[in-house]
Amino acid sequence: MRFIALIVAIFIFLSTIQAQDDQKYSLSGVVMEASTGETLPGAAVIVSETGASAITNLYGFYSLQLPAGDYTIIYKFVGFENSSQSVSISSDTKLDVELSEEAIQLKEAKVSSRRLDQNVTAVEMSSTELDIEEIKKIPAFLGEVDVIKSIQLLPGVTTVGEGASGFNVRGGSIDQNLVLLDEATVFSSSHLLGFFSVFNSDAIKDVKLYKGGIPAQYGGRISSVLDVRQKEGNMKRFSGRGGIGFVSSRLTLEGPIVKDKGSFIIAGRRSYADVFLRMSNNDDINENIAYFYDLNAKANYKLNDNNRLFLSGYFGRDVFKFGEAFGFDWGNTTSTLRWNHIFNDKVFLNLSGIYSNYDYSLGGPDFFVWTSRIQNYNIKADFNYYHNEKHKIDFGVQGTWYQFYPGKVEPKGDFVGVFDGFEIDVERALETAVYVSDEYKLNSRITILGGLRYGTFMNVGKATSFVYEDGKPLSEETIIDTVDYSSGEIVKFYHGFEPRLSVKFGLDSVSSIKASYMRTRQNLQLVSNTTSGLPLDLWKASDQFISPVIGDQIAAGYFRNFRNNTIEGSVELYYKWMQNVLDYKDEAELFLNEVLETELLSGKGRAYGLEFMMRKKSGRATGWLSYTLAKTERLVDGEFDEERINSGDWYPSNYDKRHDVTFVAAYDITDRLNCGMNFTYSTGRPVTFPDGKYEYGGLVIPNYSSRNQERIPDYHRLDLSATWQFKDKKTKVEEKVDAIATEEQPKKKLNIHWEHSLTLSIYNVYARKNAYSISFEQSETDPTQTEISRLSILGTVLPALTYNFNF
Amino acid sequence: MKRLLPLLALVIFFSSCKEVIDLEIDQGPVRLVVDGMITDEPGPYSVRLTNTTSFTDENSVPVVDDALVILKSSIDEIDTLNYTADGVYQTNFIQGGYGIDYQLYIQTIDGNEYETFPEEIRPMGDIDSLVLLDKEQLGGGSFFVDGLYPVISYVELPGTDYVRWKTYRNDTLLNAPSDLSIENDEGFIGDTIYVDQRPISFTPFKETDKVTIERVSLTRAAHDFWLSVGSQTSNSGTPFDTPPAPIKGNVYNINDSKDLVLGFFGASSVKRISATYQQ
Repeated sequence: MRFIALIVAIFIFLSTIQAQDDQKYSLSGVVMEASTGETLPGAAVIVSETGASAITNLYGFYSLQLPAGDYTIIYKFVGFENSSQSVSISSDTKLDVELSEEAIQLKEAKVSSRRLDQNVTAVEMSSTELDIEEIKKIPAFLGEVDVIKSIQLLPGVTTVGEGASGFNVRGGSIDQNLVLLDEATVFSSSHLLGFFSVFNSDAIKDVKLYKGGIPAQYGGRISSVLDVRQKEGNMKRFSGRGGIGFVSSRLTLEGPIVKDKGSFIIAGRRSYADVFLRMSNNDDINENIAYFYDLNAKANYKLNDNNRLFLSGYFGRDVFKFGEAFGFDWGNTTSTLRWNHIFNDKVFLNLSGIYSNYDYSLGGPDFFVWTSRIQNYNIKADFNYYHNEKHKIDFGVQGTWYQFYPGKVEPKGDFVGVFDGFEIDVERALETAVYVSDEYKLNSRITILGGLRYGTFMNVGKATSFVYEDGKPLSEETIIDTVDYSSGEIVKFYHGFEPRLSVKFGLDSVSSIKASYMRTRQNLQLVSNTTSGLPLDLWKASDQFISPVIGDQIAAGYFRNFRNNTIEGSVELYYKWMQNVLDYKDEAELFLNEVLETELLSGKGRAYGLEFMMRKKSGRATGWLSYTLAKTERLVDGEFDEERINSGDWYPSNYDKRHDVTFVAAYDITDRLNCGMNFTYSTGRPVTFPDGKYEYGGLVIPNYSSRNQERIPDYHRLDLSATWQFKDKKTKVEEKVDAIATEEQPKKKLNIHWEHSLTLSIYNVYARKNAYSISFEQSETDPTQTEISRLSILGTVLPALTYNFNF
Repeated sequence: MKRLLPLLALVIFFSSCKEVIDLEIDQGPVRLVVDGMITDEPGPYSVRLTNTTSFTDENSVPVVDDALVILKSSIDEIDTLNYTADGVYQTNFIQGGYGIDYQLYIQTIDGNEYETFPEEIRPMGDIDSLVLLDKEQLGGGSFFVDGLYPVISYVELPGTDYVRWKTYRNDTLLNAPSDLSIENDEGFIGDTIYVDQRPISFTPFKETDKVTIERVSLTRAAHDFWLSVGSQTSNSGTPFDTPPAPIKGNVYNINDSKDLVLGFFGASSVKRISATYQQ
């Protein structure tokens, strides 16, 4: 209740804010894409006369304070024509602007006159935005355009190997990334373990990754935020797109609900490996089913100039079935209801109600069914207050209710009456946060973004927990008592501040220095001790045994743009340290364990590195070159012998990679043909070699004394792609421009034009057998001997053809 | 859990390939390895003492042939073992019995003294029957390839039992890491249970094979030890591997608690049944 009262109080306060400075008026509005009406976050709004500028927020909204007078306002966005608007300001003014996509043939000429210098001028650092069109140019694995795989090509982002789920940012584990889809937490971002991600590229507008200097509005994970935004749907006309690929097919439909007022988009994707399996004559194979699907849907409606509603949802699932006997399926469901409200020209509100769910089910009608689930309900209010041209203040409140169902096993068929069904206790938790941040433009050189977030976390009953004997390691044998907590009673309470600070110092018009510090807290951790994460892995709330992870990071960098801002360069250094990171006792049993805390250890982490990136975002040739030099380590040094890893000394994390070089390039050879390439090289990840072997019970057993002290061979790979457009792009743009020009003459009918393209992508062009791991086993043929083997997961060249269309 | 993972592994349906490679590996300190057990079956019982060797060593492991090995029981029997060959020491008179704890003492020639934590022989229900059934009789499905599978019926005694199932083909133990079958019955309901017609091995047999199934009791410590052996010998480099780690047994160095001694001295009861295929 207090939470709601607070929101109401804030509302009342904000409604009373008026333009207090009589001499200044505000100019505000929304920047949109002309052809579809999609809002454009991150567009630049510049006042020619004064040089004052603003950037549109996540919902395309901007606000500027200006004295009365006549102005020319320039609106800019990468890949779009600049728009120049003359306004005469004598009172608070609203101006919504539509930007048109650049015509291809104009790009070369346009580039030189454009000024897109956010890399240098924005206070934000350690973040990268990728537009979905940019992602589509990167050669895709088996033709599946993949957001997560593209993110993995950025400096500071690594994985343990091919097919691994998730990604690691600046030495953080995969559960330390806050993955958001339209503000809803996505608990598992992978399909087919990790070969594909859950984001259907046709439904996605853009993605932004924060590796450091994370704004105060985000919290809950310590290493990064991956903010994925779905498209809103075409406001102007009904349209669609789709594709047929090697792995899956896609279809997206979008259009206006009421023209220029509301729109919808619905996108589906389904893989069809099982279709091929069914064609097999072998009964053992054709009874097996394996597929995944995604459904994205979104609708929005402008109630009036000041109010807009959005409803979006995602539903995706992976399904495996081995005949009728045994099945395994898992997936995410999210839904988000958002209300954008403009209180007045200075205050913008986004209010969201969010639901997110991840669950899996494993078993069969003759054995048992094992299910697990995590759910959360989230309400948040985020305010942008454009105080004046020097201060932009963001603040907000958030509340999240979690329910964890760690595991339930029900016997089925013949097992009923023989085995007990059982359920691991449900956990419940309430997480709240308030934050405020101020972007303060001290002068033309210096901008400071200071933020403070305060969060609480309550693990609440109903619950039963164990009390363990003092001075002994936690184990079933040292349980001395149990404590019952009634419904709503607090089991454990954590709270803490998370300060954030970023400073930009402009050196000249093309270069700047930035520095940042952030503290982040994380109340949930993924319990996983396999090399790569599994769909079965559980999320565990902090409780009396497991403390929230606390991360601190300092970063500093030099940013410089070249060639009239067409090339962005940056060098960043960071140092990060982490407390209370989960680790596991040897041979820990992490599933269906009532005393999970007896298997868990707590450790420290540290990571440091240097990241270099040169990126070209516009023109015929685009892409980036990046290099990362990094080190990331863990320390688990508990009181007792069984609570130590690597004898209590620092050891490299599984995803520690010393050097990482990536070169991504796309080139429009003609208006119809473009090609892309991606080359990546990285140091092999750590591996543990046995320091000896012995015989026991007729088995040969490797003896491992220390952890992760050696490396698998270096990884490198080249991917290529080429896309052939069946219709000239140039015509398309002119037609669209025509369509917009003529839309005010309702008599003239819009033509729907079909466009087709064919993409050939080749993964691992020179068929390198990159090592995923090195394993040490007893020889199968001669049990007295040992064998060392190298496993390559994708050790060959993998070409794929994808056909895409849109209308 | 580990047994579910091969199912997941099916999804790596692309082109994963595994190749044997040559690799230089440094050898760590040489450690003592103790391998032995006492059962409720008639003795003598053996203990084998060996040392660790380099992982790539193609010779048989070095044996320890000059140690003093003494087996003690909780009813004050003391039996000094005699060295035979290949690192194996044998008992003279001791006979394993239910409910008795057994403990091994070792003194090596360099003066180091070792001891094992006491292990108890726990009773185990009988195996009533063993039959060999084919794929169709088992209800088909993609779990089974063509062949015959051993199916047993047995009694599950009250209380938590830890057990190792051993399967023999023509009196030879199936002893690849994947054959290790370690269980506990924590999930069973109630007191004494009769488990009827349970397939016990997914290894196919031929009509001419003689099959023997052994049910070997374990203590909790032995159960955990064998689980570790199972996981450390079956880590094959897949994304589902758990981290490699030294396997802690029940042997310790009396003089140096930091010294890692490998192996386990166990105490088990054994139930056994044999059968051949009946039309």
